[in-house]
Amino acid sequence: MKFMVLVVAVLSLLIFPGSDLARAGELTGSEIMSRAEFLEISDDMEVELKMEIIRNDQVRKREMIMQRYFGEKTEKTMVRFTAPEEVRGTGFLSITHPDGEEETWIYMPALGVERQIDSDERGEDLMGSDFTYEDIFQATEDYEYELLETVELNERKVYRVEAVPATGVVEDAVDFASQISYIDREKFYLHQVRYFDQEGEEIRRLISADVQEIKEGTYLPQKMTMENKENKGRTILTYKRVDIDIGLDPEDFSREKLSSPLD
Amino acid sequence: MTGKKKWQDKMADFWMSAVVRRRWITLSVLLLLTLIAGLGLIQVEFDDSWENWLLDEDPVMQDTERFEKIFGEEQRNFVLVESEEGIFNPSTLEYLEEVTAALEEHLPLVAEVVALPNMPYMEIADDALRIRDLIPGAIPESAEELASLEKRVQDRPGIFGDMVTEDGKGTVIIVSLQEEIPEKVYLDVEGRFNHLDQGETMEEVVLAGDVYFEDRGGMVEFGDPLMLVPPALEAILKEHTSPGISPTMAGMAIAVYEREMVLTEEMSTLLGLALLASALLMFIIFRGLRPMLAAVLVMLMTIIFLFGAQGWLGIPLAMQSLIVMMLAMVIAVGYSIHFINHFLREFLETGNRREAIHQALREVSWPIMITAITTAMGFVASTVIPSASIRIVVLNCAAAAILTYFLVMTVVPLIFILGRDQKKLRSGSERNQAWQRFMVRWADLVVSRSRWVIVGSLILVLILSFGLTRINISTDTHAMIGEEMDFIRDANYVAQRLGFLYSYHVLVELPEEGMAKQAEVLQGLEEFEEELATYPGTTATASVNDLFREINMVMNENDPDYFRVPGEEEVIAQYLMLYEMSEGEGLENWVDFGYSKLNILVQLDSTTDETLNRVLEVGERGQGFFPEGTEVSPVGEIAMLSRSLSFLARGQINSIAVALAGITLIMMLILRSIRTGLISMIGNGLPVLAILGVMGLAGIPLDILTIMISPMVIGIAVDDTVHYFLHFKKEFERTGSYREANRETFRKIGKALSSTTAVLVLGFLILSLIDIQSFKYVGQMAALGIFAALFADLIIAPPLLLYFQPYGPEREKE
Repeated sequence: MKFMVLVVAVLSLLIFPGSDLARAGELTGSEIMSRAEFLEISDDMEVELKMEIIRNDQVRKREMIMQRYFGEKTEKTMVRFTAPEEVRGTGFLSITHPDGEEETWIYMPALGVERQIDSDERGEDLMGSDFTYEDIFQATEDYEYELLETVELNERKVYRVEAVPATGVVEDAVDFASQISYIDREKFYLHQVRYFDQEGEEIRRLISADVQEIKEGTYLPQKMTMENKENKGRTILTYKRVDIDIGLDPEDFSREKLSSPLD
Repeated sequence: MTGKKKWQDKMADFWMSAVVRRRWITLSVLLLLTLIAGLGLIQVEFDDSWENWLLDEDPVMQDTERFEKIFGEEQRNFVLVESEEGIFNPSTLEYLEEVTAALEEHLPLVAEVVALPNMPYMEIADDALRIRDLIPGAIPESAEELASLEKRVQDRPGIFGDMVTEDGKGTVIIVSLQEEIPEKVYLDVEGRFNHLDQGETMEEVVLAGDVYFEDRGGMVEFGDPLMLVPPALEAILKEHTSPGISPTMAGMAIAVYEREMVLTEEMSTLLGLALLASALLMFIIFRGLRPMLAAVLVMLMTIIFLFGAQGWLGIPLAMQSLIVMMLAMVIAVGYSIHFINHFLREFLETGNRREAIHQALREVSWPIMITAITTAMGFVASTVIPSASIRIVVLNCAAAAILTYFLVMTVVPLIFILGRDQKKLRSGSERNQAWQRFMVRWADLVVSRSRWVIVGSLILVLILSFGLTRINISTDTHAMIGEEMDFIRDANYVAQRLGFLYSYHVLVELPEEGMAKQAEVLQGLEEFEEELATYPGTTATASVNDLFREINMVMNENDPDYFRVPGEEEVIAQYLMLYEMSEGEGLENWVDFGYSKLNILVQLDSTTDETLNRVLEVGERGQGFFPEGTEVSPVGEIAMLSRSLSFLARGQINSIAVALAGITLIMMLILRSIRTGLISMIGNGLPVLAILGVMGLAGIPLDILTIMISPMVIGIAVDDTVHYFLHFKKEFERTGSYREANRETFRKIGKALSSTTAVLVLGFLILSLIDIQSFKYVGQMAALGIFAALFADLIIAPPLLLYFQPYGPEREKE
């Protein structure tokens, strides 16, 4: 289910909020990139999010609550739409079992039944947005990172780190040839990512804004804008609320909960 | 008269000094120009796509442009796969899977290849909603699995109805090309690459791997990327064979490619024929090498100059460019005959080359100029037809007439000035006198039987007028090229087997954003589609409603009762959301981002005129099904064809009217008589009536090629009319008797008129030997028109002049 890929991808953006806790000495490109991955060690999260997909002055707005639980060998994700009104209550539930099998359920209030969904994940764009699976949901080991330099951006010192696919398989799978990330040198949050094609033309640019300290020493941009240079569209993600380690009950990731009325 | 004579002499003196006195300069300039034009000729490209038919400001063009901005430009081609054992057997399914994979990997500019195995299939199975390929894993082998697969396909007539033929022995591979085809690509091939010369094996054609969008050094730039697809498609199909399975290709890219092949081939055939015909005609008339050389050179240079200019200006050649070649040949021969005739008469009498050339120039430079101008006018009149490609061709033809005049005035004298003077040879001949006696008898006959002539002519006019009312207008391109061409046979076969081949889109623009999600709009869409399905030639329609029907049925336990568009707006919104969120696949093809524009695909099994005529009405009919303020427009190449249907008839009438009016005005000025000018209209009007009347009677349609016959013939035939009426006037002023004037006119110019007509008729008939159906008609009908002009001048005009007495009463014989 492509949508679930998006959900994971959107949450994965949170990989990039930075922590200034463990900075020492000169870092390599991959060290800088892995510094921020503190979310991998968190247990659960709940995010309230607004997504705006913009094309030629037309805007599609969606608001949703996403919950994610990281168990020992399972992962559970639930998304419930809160706006617009006509789709309020529509939801998705995805559970990855210890054997790697994934089950996905959808609930449509208008039909009143939840349905399991089983589909090939194909295609690249997520939910018609400007984010692609590869843009965001990339494993650090799939890329070779190089710290190019330290530059000034948004009046702050940032690392300029280049990532290129490490293997031919990855190279074939992604639509960019290289990406350059701008990571805050002090607080390790993401300022910008630029994606380039074979010819060195920039194809997309992710820009973060509205950085806030979500817990001590951890900073998170509240707004992420992905500009698509090719179709001139853009997608804005605004995190209205991000709660981490709030003790979500794994049992709540259930079909019953999926079809229960929203508050 | 004296004023004109002076002017004629001045003109002759000008050409004399240019050609004879400064012949080396003139020759150098001509050679240089030919060289420059030749360099342009190398660059000239072919483009026979329909996009050039209409003007950019045409509403259909603008609607189509808007549609393509929203939904992209669709480039679908088809491979009909037929298997003796039927589709649902392992070898056929394996073949489909293999070819699909090969096309996706090797076909240049490919976007997506869909065949049965990889068709997305949505179903509830094991209690889960599944969206996956119809054959997600290995090809089924057992009879049970195959039967279940067949049932799955048959259960979804809406989705698979188009994919399988009725007898179950044929299926289709749909090859969609990239929406945005770049203007040029770079190829990793040998330097002198010609896309039409590609072979039939994988090694000999350009495949996806050879195509680059940027020059990576040492690559060949190629300006028409779509042309790379058909040969590669053919080679890939040849590479994958399976016993009992036969593939047939069809589709727009293939049609355009094949038309270009035909065009290139026929262009060289036509050039060969034209060279042969002009040489032959000149030999028959003059029995000498120089006249042959003169006509051939003038024709070749005219073509090189015109097509070379098109090369430099970046205007591509199209099917209609053949008309330019045809015209260049006919007028090169026609104008050259005039000059050479006068030159030889003088030269044989005086033996002095220089003087003979000067005299010939005095005699012909003015009349040929008038002829060239009237011919050009006939063509310029056709620019009233609102079609870009017609305008290019008619302006080219007009330029051909003027250019041929200049070349005849320079090249032909240059050929005849070379050589020694000769002794006086002869004066007059017996054969000539026999001709004159015959013409005088003819003159007397038509006048003495004037009643018969007029009654007979009236009957003829009535019959032709009846034919005129029966004329068909056609943009059926298959009929135009001829059904016997292989690719047209293939296309017709694929269309007949699959029930579709051609398609157009209907763009529905709702007045407000989000309206496309409203239940009543979707209801209107459903009803509109039902009506569209009843139109002739329409085999199926598709729209966003197909997605709703399918998902609604699947979400309701596969219950066929739910194979309908849901009536509740919340359900619609949530289904849409599911589509947006999941595959998304398909949704953006049918409805725009803001939910205010809908796309309807209408599939056709033919492009006959009955079908196309209805396409024109789609916009107006459609509005009634949607909320007020909705715009409904048919778009795409088929809509463009329909659009051109609508202007062909009007364009033909307008172009003929403008040509006749312009030429009649010139006749009135030349003859200085309104009445005679009007009578001369008969000589110019009868050919048109003959052409269109016979076309109607013989069922020859008026199409993008045949529409140019009448204006062309008017422009050429006026030549004889000018000669006849001018001479008649002169003779009447001399003799004071209409009967005597007619007799003298016949005696003096009857032979010349008949022989030029014979030459033109023969020329056009030879050119009608080429293999394009409509072009054959152009040759035949032009020949008929030219003959009708002679008939009008030498049979109908004399009795009318005697009856109306336009130059006043006869003078008493002194």
